[in-house]
Amino acid sequence: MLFRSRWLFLQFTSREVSNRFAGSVLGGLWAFVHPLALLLVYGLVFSAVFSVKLPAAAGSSYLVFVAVALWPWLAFQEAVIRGTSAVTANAALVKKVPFAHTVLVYSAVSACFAIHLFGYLVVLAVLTLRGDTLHWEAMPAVLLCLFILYLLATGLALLLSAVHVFVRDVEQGLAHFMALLFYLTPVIYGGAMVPEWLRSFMSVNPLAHVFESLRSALLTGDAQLNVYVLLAGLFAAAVFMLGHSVFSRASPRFEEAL
Amino acid sequence: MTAAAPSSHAEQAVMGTIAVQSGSLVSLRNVGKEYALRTTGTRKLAAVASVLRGRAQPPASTFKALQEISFDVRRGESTGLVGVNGAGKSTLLKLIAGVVRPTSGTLQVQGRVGALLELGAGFHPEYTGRENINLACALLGMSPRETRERMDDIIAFADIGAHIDQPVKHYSSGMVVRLGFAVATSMVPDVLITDEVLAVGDESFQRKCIAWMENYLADGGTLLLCSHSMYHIQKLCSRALWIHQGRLHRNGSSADVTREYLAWHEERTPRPAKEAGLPAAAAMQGTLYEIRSMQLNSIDQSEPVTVAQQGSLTLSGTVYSPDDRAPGVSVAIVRADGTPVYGTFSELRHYKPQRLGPKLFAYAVRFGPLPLLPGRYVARSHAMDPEGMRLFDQVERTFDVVGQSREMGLCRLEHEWLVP
Repeated sequence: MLFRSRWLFLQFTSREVSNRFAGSVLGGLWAFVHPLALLLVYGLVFSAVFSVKLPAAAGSSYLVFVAVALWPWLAFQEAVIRGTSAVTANAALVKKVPFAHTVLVYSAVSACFAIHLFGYLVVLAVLTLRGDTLHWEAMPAVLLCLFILYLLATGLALLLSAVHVFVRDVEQGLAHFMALLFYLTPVIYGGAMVPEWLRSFMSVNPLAHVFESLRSALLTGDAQLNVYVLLAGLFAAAVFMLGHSVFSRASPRFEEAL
Repeated sequence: MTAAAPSSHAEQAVMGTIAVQSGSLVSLRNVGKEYALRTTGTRKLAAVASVLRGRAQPPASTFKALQEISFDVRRGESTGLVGVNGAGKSTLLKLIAGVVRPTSGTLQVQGRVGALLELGAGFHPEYTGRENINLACALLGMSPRETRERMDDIIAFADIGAHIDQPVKHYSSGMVVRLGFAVATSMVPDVLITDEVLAVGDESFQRKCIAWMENYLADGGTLLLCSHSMYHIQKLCSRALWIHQGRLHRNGSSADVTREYLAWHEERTPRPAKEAGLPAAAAMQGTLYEIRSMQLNSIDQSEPVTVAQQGSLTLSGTVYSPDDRAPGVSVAIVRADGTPVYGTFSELRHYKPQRLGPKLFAYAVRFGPLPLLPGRYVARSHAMDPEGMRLFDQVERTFDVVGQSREMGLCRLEHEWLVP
C-alpha cells in the first residue's frame, strides 16, 4: 500500500515540513530555535541553579549530555502528537478523496523526524567542531535507537489517530501524557542518577533503555546494545503492528465520524 | 478495487457470490449505508468498539442513508443521478468512489475511478496553483513523470493566467474550480464520477467542461453524473437513476426519468386552483350542469395516459343537462403544477354536444399534432350552461407527453433558423 502511494507520501511529507514554516520570516530556522531554547533553559535550571553533578563516567558537560538526547526526544514527542491529529487535520481530504489514509500518519511522523534529525545532525556537528568528543563510530547503534523511536512513534500515531477520529479526547490527554513521559524518560537526567529503589520502575519504560543506549553510544562509544534495547525494539514492532491493524480496520469508517 | 462489506447476514453472503456482469464497470447489489446518529460519550466509545470488532452499528442509533440499491454501470455508458437534496446521491457517489464502504450488500468497481466529489478539495490555500497540482495529481494516483508530462495541459485547461504561480488563497472560488477540473481532466479514468461540479464556474467554463465530458464519452468513457440540472443530465447521460429517500426509485432512460422527476416536482408544489368548485351545497345531483364522464384518447382512468410528442389528444365525455338543453363545454390543458397552457370553450366555435338520451349529451375535441414538450399535464373539462355564461364543475385527467427533446418551456413554437 505504502509503495503504491510513495509519491503521495513524499508529497505529503514535504508539504508537512514546509507547512510548519510557510508564511514565517525565519522559516526553517524555527526548527532549531525551539530545541535550542529548551536546551538553554534546562542547562540554566539544572546546571546553574540545581548544580546537577553528572557521574564521572558520562565524560561530558551537562549541556552536551542533554543535547544528544533532546533532539531525538522532540522528534518522538512531536511525531506522536502530530501523527495523532493527522487524520482529523485532513478531514476535508478524507471525506472527499479516496486514497490510502495511512499516508497521512506516515507523513506526519516522518516530517517530524526529518525536521528534528536534521537539527540533530547540525547540533552534533557543532559539538564536534567545538571539540567535544562524540563517538561517530558508534553511529549504527545510534541509528538503530532512532529507528526504534520512529517505529514506536508511527505505531502509537496509527493507533491513536484512528481512535481520535471517533473520540476527540485523545489529543487532549496525549499532550499531558507526553509531558509526563518526558520526565519519566532519562532525557534531562541519566539513568545512573536515579535512586536505586526507583530504577526497577524506570526500567519498565522501553524508551528509557533506548535513550540510555543512544547517549552512551554517542558519548562513550559503547556500541553494544543490551537486551533491553532489543526488547524495546520488539515492543515498538508490536505497537506498530497493533496500530496498523487498528488503523486499517477503522479507516473505511473515518468518513462517517469526521 | 473491490469494497465488500463484512456480510453478517446469509443473504448478503449469497449476493456476494454473484459475478460482475460482463462489461460492468460498477456493480451494486443490495447496497446499503448507515450512519450513526447519536454522539454521546458512551455512544462514541461503543462505536469505536464496534468499528474495531468489524461490526455494524447497533440498529437503533443509525440513519439509513441508502437502502437496497442495485444497478450496473456498463463500459461506455453515461448515467445521471437525480433526486432531491438529502436523497442519498452524494453518499452513493462516495461509495462508488471508494471514500466510504457500504454497510451491507456488495459493491464492485473495476478500473481506474476518477472522482470529482468536490473540486479543489485537496488544495492548500498557502501554496501556489502549480504546487497544488502536484499534490492533487498524486492524490489521483499519478506518478511524478505523468504529473510533469501533463502539467502544461492542466495549466492550459485551467486558463487562469499568471495566477497559477500565486497562492490558492488569493483565488476566486471560480478559479479554484477551474484548477480542480483541469487536474481531473488530466487523468483519463475508466469511470468518471462527478458530483454537481458543473453547477459552479462561469458559463464559458461550464461549456468547456461539458465539451470535455462529451469528448470523454465519445472516446468510450464511462460517466456517473450527479446534477440538479435536468438539461445536463439529458445532454450527457443516456440513462438516469432517481434516488429517493435512500432508495432507487426509478432506473431508465434519462429522458423518461428526468420527465417523471420534473413532473413529481411540479405536483409537489401545487398552485391554488383558481377555478374553485361551487359550494358543495349547490352541487346537488340533478340540478346543475355537470360532466358525467371524461376520457383521454378514449381511455377513462385516473392514472396518466401517455401521449407521444406531436401525437394527437382527444378529450371526450358526457355532460348532464338538467333542463335537457344542449350544454356548453369548456376544456383546458394545464401543466401538472397548475400553470395554464391553453383553454377554450364550445361556444366559441358554435359547437353543440350531441344528445345521447334524456338530459345526457356527448362531446369530443381533438388536439393535434400536440405541440407540448415532454412532461406531465392535466386535461380539464368543465360543464357550462347553454349560454356559455357560467362554468360549473371540473373533471380532470392526467396525461404524460413523452418524447426526446432538449427544448425548454411548455410547448414548441413554430420557428425556423434564418440566414441573416
